[in-house]
Amino acid sequence: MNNDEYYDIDSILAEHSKIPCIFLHDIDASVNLSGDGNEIAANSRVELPFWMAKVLAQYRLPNGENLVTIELPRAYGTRVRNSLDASPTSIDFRQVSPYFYQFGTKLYDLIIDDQLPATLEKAFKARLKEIMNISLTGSTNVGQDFLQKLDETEKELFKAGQESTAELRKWRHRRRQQLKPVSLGHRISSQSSIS
Amino acid sequence: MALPRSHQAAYTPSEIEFLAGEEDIIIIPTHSMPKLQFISGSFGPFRPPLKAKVPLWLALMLKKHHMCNILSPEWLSVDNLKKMLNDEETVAEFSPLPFHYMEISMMLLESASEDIPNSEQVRRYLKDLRETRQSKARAGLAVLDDRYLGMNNLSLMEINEIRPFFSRAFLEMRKLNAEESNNYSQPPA
Repeated sequence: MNNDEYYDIDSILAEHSKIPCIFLHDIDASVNLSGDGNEIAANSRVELPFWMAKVLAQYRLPNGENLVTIELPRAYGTRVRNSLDASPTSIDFRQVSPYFYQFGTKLYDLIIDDQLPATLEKAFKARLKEIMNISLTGSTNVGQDFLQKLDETEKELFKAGQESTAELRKWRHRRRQQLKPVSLGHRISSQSSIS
Repeated sequence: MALPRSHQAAYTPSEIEFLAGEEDIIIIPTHSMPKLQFISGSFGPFRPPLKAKVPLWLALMLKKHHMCNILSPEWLSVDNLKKMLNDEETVAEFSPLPFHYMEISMMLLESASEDIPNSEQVRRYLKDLRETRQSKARAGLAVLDDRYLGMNNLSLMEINEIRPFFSRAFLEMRKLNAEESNNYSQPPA
């Protein structure tokens, strides 16, 4: 794992996403894994946050067995992947998984799935085009409903693009506005040359 | 460093304008002046009506004090801009404009507009040129590949506009891709 991700807030939040685990043994109620004080029966499915699930998955009991097996979360299941293939720009990542890309990269280590990187990359590229169009255009009303569907990484990208365009526009218009007072009169023009 | 986001990823347009002030430009001084000594160099002596080559910042300062007339650079003429606009619309590559064309033209049109013939037309052509280049840049970025993206003849301001978005986008793509290349068992020889 990358060391500069340790302090990264987005990375920490991404690890909070839940992932289903199947327990192979009974867990006592006192352990309180799911947080509500119930005991967990063997072969039952519980959704745990990723940071917990990762450690549990790598833990081996003294007799060499695994404690849990991890399943692919619903956000990366076949239904989502099919709709990603069909139309990447119409998926609402805020509902599916707000940290889709970051969480996906964390899953690479945990779950063997050859299709996942290619799927993520394709989806990212397709949506990137749309994000670029909206952010670099500079108009505020266009594409609002697409913007609701972005996940956190894409939102960062969008903000970066929008800010650079806004900066450029402000720079140009500041000049244009300085020209206006100059034509009104000598007294006012001397004031504007100070500013 | 605790810079605001707009400073972290790229220059601000004002900084680029400052950098563009270093470009040389030809002036016709109206007053006779002895040699001027500055930290960055010494300029002069100025003997009208001989032309002199000075940095842009000095030219604009002299112009503000009505001590010179600025000679508009060759690329900032209506004919040249019209030709560039035509090239821009027909050829797929970007036409070779000076690296700081946006800032220089902005500063000149603002402070020395009477020295530029047909300044209104020049302004219009510049605006069209910029918009055409912008749409070309966006079309090129849409087909981007995360290993190599070649765009020649972009000006500094245009690069700066694209830079934060694209460096971030490439970084994210590389993160997604890095895992994919790790999954291959043997790297190609």
